[in-house]
Amino acid sequence: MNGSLPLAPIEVWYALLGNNEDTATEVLWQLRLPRVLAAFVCGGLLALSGVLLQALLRNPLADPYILGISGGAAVGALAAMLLGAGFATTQLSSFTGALLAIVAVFGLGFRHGERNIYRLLLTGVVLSAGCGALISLLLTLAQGEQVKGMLFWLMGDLTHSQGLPFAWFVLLTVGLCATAFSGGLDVLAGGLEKAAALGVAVGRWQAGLYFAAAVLTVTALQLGGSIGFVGLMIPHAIRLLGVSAHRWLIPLSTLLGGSFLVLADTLARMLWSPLQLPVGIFTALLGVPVLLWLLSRRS
Amino acid sequence: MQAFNNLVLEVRKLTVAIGGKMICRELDMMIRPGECWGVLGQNGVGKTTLLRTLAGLHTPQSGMVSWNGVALAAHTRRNLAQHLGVLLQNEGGEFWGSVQEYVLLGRFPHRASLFGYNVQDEALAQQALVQMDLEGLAQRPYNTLSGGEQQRAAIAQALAQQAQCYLLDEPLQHLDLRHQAQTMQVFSRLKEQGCALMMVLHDTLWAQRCCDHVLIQFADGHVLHGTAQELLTRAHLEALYQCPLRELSVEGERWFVAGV
Repeated sequence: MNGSLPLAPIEVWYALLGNNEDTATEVLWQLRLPRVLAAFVCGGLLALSGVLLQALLRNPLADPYILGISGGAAVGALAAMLLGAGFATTQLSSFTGALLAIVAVFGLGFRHGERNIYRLLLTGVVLSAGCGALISLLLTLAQGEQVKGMLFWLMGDLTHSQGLPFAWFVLLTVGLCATAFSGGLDVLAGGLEKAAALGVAVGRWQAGLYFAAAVLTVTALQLGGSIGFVGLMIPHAIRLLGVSAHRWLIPLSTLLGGSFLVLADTLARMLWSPLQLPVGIFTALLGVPVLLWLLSRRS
Repeated sequence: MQAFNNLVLEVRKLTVAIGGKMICRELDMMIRPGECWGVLGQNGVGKTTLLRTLAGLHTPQSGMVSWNGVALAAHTRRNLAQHLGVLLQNEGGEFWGSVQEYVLLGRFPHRASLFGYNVQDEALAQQALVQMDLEGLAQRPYNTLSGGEQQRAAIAQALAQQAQCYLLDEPLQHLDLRHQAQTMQVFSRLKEQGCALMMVLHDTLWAQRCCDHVLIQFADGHVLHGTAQELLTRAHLEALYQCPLRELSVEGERWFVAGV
């Protein structure tokens, strides 16, 4: 209902029924609904990726970007923007960057089915730092309007979301599989060697988790750029509410992540309307006080 | 619990080393149902590594460990976990759930459905909680427990696993005297029911009371094993711990105390 063109509830209702061919119907079906669905699926992808990476790395600070995937994607996207590429080429370039990062981190950090996740984590962090330097270089070399476009990409922006059906397919498929295997994730949280002693083929699980999280992250990056905080905060928020078993943590994080990003995106569109702000600003502005409040309540 | 007459953990010509340190050479032994083995040795001789090797968690240099006549490597991890229960040192990890959820993980190898545990699993986890005196802490977050309580939760998880052979690395660490006695009673009952147990211990009194077999590990990779009666002598223990011991007799039990 809210946005640069306000719609009354009754207008939304008629537009949803699709009886009219007026502006409201067009705005709702062509702009608002796809945007809300994109925000929801993007938030769900990031939150689910956060849950899987926190289980894989057994590190509460793990988020979808910790392993350098977003760094690789950002370098690809910004390099394409600097060269004046169009939207499609930028997307392809960011996808290629993310893919290279995934292969590099897996190849260097996670060889021979080893169970040493610290090597994987450190490889990802080192790669992220390297990408951070390249991003700074690209931002320095960019001019005027290019810089603004780059900053929007880096802070997350759902304006040009494409590939929505594929993103939903990824979210539902990985979400269902992760829920089905949630018992193993609980066991992994209890310690890797213990997990092996309880019948989990740890090396295979780690590889599966890594690639599942990578697919989720890349899909989210393609949809909305590098939107921060959702993947880190949402799983913790659910845990702080007392839910830690993965069979509940996975669906609840996905739903809350999606809803949270819809709210943040709505604020990003509305507050300085008609100017649209990067959604990443609002995920942090909304998320920080909520998480701090939950933490103080818990302690 | 049924008797497990044919289920034997067999070790043949096992040579284990880690980081250039020899743990054991060409070790041959067999742990049969209803036997309780104590593993004794100085800090750092590799008791944990030996136990991890017997559990299939560490690859030996040569030789073989087999369960029920089949090499451990030929079993799937799940199949092995249905029979072998392992208690590791400091195994807690970043577990965010409740004590009850932690203990329920012991049922993971037996789980019939992908989507959760059944009533029987929950009943066995509850039974294990009661055995380890944890029923009052069942709903507490696991990571808020004290070291001793976490140790009891880890043992409860192993009990919920309903294994036929238990490999226990220092099961009495962090436990107060009452819970040490309670835990050893639980292990004695498992032994009477036909379970095989092997546990790393530092208290020779518990080894005398509960173990019928003992394995003693020396720093150079030399290993002795035999009945508790043969090996739990002052001469063997002084050689093992490299310090003079005093032997006391209290109410018919022998106590070995380090001499000053």
